[in-house]
Amino acid sequence: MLGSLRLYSALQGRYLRPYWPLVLLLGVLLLGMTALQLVAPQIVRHFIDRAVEQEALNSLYAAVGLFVAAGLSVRVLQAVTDYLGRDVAWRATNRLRADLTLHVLRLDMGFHNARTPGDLLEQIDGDIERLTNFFSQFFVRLVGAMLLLAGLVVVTWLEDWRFGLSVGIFAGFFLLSRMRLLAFIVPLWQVESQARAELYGFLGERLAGVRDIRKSGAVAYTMARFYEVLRVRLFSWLKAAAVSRLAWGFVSAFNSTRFSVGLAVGAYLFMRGEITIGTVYLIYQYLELLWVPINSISREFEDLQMAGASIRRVKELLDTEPKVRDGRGADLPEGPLDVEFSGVSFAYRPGVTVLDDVSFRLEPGRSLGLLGRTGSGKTTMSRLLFRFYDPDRGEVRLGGADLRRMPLKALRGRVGLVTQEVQLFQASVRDNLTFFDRTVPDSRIESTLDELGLGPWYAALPDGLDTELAAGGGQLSAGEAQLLAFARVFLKDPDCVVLDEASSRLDPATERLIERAVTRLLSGRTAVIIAHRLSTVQQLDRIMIVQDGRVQEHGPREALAADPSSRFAGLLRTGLEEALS
Amino acid sequence: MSTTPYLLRLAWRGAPVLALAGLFALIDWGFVVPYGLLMRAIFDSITGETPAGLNVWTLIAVLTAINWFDLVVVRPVGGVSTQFLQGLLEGRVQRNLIETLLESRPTGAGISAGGMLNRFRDDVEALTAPVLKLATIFGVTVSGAASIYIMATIDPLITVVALLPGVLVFGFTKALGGRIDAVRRRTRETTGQVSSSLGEFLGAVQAIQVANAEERAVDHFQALSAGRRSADLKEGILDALMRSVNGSTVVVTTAILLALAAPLMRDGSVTVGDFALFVTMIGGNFMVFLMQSLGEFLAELRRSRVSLERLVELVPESPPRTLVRGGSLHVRGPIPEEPYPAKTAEHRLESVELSGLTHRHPESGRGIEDVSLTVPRGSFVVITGRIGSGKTTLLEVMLGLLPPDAGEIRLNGETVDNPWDVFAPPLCAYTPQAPWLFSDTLRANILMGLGASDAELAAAVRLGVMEEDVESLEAGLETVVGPRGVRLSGGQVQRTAAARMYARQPELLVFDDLSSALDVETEQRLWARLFELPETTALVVSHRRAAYRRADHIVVLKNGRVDAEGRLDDLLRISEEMQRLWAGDVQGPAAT
Repeated sequence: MLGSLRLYSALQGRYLRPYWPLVLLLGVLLLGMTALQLVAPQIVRHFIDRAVEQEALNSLYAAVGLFVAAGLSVRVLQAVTDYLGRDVAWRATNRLRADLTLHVLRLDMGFHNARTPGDLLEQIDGDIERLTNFFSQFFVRLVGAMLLLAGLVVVTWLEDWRFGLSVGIFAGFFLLSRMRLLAFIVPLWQVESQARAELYGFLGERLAGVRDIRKSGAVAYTMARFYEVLRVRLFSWLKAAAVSRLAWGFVSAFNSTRFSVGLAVGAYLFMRGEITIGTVYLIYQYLELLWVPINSISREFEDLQMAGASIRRVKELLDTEPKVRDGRGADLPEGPLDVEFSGVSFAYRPGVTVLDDVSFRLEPGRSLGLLGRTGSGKTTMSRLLFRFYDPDRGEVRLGGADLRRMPLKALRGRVGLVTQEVQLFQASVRDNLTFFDRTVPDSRIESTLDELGLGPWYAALPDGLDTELAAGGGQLSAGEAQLLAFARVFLKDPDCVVLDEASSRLDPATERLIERAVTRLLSGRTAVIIAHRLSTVQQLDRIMIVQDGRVQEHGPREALAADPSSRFAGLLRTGLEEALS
Repeated sequence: MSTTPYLLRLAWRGAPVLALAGLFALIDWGFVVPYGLLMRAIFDSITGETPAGLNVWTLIAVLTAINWFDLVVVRPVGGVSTQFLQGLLEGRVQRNLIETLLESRPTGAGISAGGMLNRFRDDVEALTAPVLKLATIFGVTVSGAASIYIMATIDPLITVVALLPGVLVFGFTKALGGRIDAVRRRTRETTGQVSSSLGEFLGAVQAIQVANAEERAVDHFQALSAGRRSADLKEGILDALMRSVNGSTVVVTTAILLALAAPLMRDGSVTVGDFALFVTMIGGNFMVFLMQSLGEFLAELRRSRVSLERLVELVPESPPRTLVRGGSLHVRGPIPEEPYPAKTAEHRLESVELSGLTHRHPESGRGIEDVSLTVPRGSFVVITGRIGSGKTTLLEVMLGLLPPDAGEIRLNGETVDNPWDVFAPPLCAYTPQAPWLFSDTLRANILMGLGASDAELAAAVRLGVMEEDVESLEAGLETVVGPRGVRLSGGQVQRTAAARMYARQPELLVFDDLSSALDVETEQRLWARLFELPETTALVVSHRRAAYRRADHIVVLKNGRVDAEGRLDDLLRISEEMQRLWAGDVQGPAAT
């Protein structure tokens, strides 16, 4: 727990500092609340004693007035601190979320391939949510509660040292027993939440697969599985609830014994004439109030305990260094760039070589068609060109400079990529096309869409560029999505492009439109194309056939085509598609 | 829609547990009566108002004993039974929902699987919540009535006046309820936006990095986060308001008590003990609690009405009463495993005829128009056409996934009214374009409860051209796949689904377009193996030559209508559309 506390203070320092005036205000308000909470019972004691002594009614009413004022002030302060705390928490955690997201988005693909987006989402949103309390109120509440607890011990001690001592002993005992209890109960609730996740995971998957279940005649089977997960869930719930409630019952029963002890001590002292009946009542009320700080302190520590794992995960993520680091070299020259691989070897995992000593050079403005079976290393070559990874040996050069010596921004600003899978966001069409770049004028977006043959599609959008795309691109056909990916690249207008051509997913009509887009994309740019179609290959300047991570054949397309002994010529004869699948 | 009959039915289904919870709530809250009386006795005894009776120490001991009994026995039993009841009721509604969804034709209703799951969780909880409150309300009301009676015997005026603030809380809660619901909805909405945008970004890291858009994506995310913050703060204001009003009620009540008691305590007609009794009974705030509970109960009723409607939307074609129907949840004892339906002589397929089938998608207006075709026993029928020509729609209407606007489906000459039920195993099985695998072993995904031998399973895997993939997986058929398992490629998923289909040995095999994820060679192998089976009837969507060549009959769809049909040779002569599809270079505007 101390470790968590240390990590917590490190994070807190960074994200709470900007809001220190608010935090300070929170602290002051809490102090006020503590004082008022301690004062209210004094007023009641005063009232009772005066009432029993037959004091004038006016002074009694004055006491009542004071009591109301103190009580209501506490409530108002409570509401204000709650609100302020919530606000600070959101501001700080939103900043942390944004920082963490940016950090993660910048990490290399080696990192991202090792994790699923779902896990990362859970860490960024879920873990930080569990930390919300720490960013607002943990410190403030803990200090507030300790103040109140100390205040209670002092005030009761001043009444009579025996009271003070009992209050102190109770507080200590209770705090300890509650922490013990927690260590006992938490695992049970973890089992329960696992079972709950299991149930909803089961339901979620079956809801997505209703058609598959029904058309496989598996309704009865699915229901039997449902009863199984439901049963596990129900009984883990029952067990966790029963054990924790019973244990909690014992702890609160011990805790409530403080009233009896307080009453007994009060009665004894009153009957000996050492204190007034008002004081007996006062002690009683303080004992009731004692619950507030104890509860608060133990709850904060519970939270800390449960959030400890979250804190560690967040910190770990923030501390993850990208393997691909920004270079410090100069920017690239203007105009089309040449691409060069020299002696490049690469393995995703040690021992499993994907690229083996690959060397070639592509002149500025020329196009290269990469051919080869799945797993031959074509896609890996394109990944190295974007520096999603760095080669194990050799160099990848753009415009004559090693990629590792230029800023990533500069590199990625000059190279464009079109992949088979088009990732669309739940955002406006404009944001989807420009990647949230608001400086791109609408007219440019519109003319790009027009040129790609998406004019009719665009015209049919209800709100034009402001039309929100549904999650995952929703209503778009595969062909439309692919064309939008081209639109993205045209808007970016890079000097070098990498195109992982969509294979046979598209219907012939859409294919035609895309071929046109490819032709336009190639003009005036250096291009590397992972080719799947004869029609594309025939537009290219050079051809390279890759097999098992090695360059098997490389040369000008026309020369290779003309040489009947080349593999390329062989492919042309048998039909590209069948040989490359 | 009134929820009362449904809630009553639910309460009835959980009656024994509900009764137990109610009884223990009554005892728990009922303790306020002896508690208050004991407090009075203790204070009166200390101050010497009532010298007779039990001595102070005995009274305190009794008080302690009651407290222990309440906290260690009564409250845990009551709480656990309420929680168990919640589990039973939610489980029942969820069971009824999933069962109905599996049985009835999918209506889609435009709800994503995530959205449906959300309703399974949150709306089911909201629907059943009021039933759970009944126990508490019962306990508080009865014990509250007893307390009021006792206080009234001491001083009726004080009693009435001191109870008033509780009533005000009730009014306040009620007035604020609708507002709170609206604000909560907004918070949920913005939370959904934040997490789905974050999820999308994390799933598109490569695209974002290539676009140099890391900062801009985060800016967008931050704007959404700010929206969530302000929505949550609005909720926070209302929460804080509610809490301070509730808290203030206790303060005001106590103050009223003090003010009213002051003159009476002075003249001794109200003792310090009486005062302690009042504070215990009112300050022990059952009235505030009752009013709060009632207020919450009303709010929950309101929410449960909304949730009921949202749940009924999931199963629009079944009566709402299905949601609360009975039937064992199999909480105890063995779970019955229904055997897989056996294929009998009456499942024998002679022919499937579709005549004049029409279906228009409500939004796009596209679909199929007056499509007729016949699939005789033992034939291989291919449906082809460009994207958007209605191929998948035709299959989906036939399988009952979409309702026909017009036309008829006949099986062996007899009209089929419920294709969703009829075109299912053992008669028919189906490999959709995007099949769904569950987080389970490959074996379980293929069999799905089917009691097939290993040899039969292996045969099905081979027919699905999946055997090499299975070998290459480390754990073979025991490999866990699906969303939480090993990620298979699109082609592997489709071939697993094909194996699943073959394992059922249906009379009619239906394939939706496999070519979206299968390469030419694999598709060719798949058809070749299909033709090894004797007497197989297959209806296939494809635009691959391998399928055309084997087809007994090809139906060419264009803009939802049959453009031409017949054997490949004839079609290549007479149909321009077929020629284009064959050549693979159809020109024209993109299908939208």
